[in-house]
Amino acid sequence: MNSRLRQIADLDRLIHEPARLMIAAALSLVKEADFLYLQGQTDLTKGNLSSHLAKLEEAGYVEIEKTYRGKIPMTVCRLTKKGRASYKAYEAALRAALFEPANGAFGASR
Amino acid sequence: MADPLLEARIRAQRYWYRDGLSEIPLGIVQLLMGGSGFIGALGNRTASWFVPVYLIYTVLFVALAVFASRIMAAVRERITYPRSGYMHPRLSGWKRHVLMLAAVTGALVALRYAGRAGGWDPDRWVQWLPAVGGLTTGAVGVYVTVRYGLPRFLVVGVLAIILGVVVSVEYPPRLAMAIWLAGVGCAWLCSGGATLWNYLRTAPPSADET
Repeated sequence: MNSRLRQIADLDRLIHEPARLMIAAALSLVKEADFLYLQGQTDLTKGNLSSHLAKLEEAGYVEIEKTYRGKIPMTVCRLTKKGRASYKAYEAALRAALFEPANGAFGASR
Repeated sequence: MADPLLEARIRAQRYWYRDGLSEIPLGIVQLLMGGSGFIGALGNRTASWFVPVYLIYTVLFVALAVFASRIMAAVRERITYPRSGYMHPRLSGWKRHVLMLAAVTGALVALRYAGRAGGWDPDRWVQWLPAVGGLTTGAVGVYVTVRYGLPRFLVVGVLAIILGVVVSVEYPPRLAMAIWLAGVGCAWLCSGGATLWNYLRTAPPSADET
């Protein structure tokens, strides 16, 4: 198999989904952020964002805290240690697959 | 091929410039420094008003240094978070300030040593300080404009360069620096104020859960 394809196939599927990738990328750059910030960064609808956050939380990648700002409910999200490490590994693997020169014109066969 | 992860990073970093609030404190500090420079350059040190005015300036600077981050947090809490959402950067406020201070100090020390190595006359070096400040501001303006697509930084950068060169040529060192600081401070205030006004007009606060 083409080594580049193999690298892409080996990527963490949970993060590789585009919506979750946007969420993880946004959260990787901050210590924590609320739902509104994530909506602005990802352009996802509330329902979509909620369901993807729930999947990331279920996998232990994201920690979600329900709190209040004044009288308005606020959902604060942050990447867990596991989530941050997984995103870092994903980022490195994706960069290697997309941007590093492959062996041979189409990558070396295995 | 465009790097989608880099695009996400740039998008996240643009958050800091959306409301113009990062430019306003910078403008206030530069304006205060410029005002202090004017008093030093033009004022009569034996005049009765000199000491009280300098004391007021010292108190203002100390108050700014102590309360700036708290004031900014309170302002963002009321203006930015209800509109663009809340986020806490990975580096805490004081760590960012220490890094910025270290970068500025390092640049000044490097310039000083480069000047000595080049055999420049210290008086002429001081004379050209506003021009150097203008070029530095201009470089930052170009970087922020190219990276984040925010042309207002380029406008302030170009103004800082022109003002820096003009005052370096036309005025004695202390007065030149005071004019440059006050001028660039006003430019930051105008840029930040206009951006904030536009932000408040176009981004209504969210009434729902955030």
